[in-house]
Amino acid sequence: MNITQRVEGDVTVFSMEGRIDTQAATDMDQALLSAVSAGNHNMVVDMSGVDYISSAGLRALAAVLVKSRAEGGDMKLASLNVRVTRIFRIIGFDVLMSVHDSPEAAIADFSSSTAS
Amino acid sequence: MVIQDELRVEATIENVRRISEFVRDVGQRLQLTEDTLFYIDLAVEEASANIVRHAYQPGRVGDILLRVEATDDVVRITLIDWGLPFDANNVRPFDVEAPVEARAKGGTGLHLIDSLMDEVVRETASAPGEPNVLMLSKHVEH
Repeated sequence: MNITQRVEGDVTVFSMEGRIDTQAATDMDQALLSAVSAGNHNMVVDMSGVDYISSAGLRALAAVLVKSRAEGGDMKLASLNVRVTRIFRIIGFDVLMSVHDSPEAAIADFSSSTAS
Repeated sequence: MVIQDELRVEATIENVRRISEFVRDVGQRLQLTEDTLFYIDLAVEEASANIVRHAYQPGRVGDILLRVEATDDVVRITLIDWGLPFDANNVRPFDVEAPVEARAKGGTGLHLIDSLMDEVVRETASAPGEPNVLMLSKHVEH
């Protein structure tokens, strides 16, 4: 799995590409938690390149969300494919997580949250 | 098409990926749909990772034996290990409405297996050294 990141204002956008299996989940977990520890509390995770995610990856996303909120930030997800969306629904992540159609929509949601 | 195949590997996190590759190879030989292969791949990864983490305690080495039997209608994957038996009484029922803090602690793997497969049968070891057997079946769409 490849992870790239860019900064859009006060939001860090992570783009994931590949399979988030048990082993890759550790890499993702470390990358995202390191970013939160470094002060990047608002993050968007672009999942458009992710065609597979197992429970280890789902657990890592939950842990990152908990940590970012504890630091006063938030994590939003973007561009889930159909199968990943189905997995999210099975475990209730479609309700627990802030999921958007595109990274741009997820970033805009931070702006609207700040405005309100 | 009928396929019977098996893979025996040491129960390590690294080999969970090897097991996935084996399952995807079988799925491609069977010409499974992308959806069906995704679900089987995921259920087998969850089951394999559970064996590595829970059946074999840290420092204890053991094997996972994976057997695949497939007909035109059903794919059945049997995972066998010789570690500690799975105890359903130690597993809390999955709560789809549990808060995100609880999700970070895990517990979704078994729910995914049960949700994605059409049939899940567990036979736990009755004595040390006896095998634990998990049979996962999925009907095949054409």
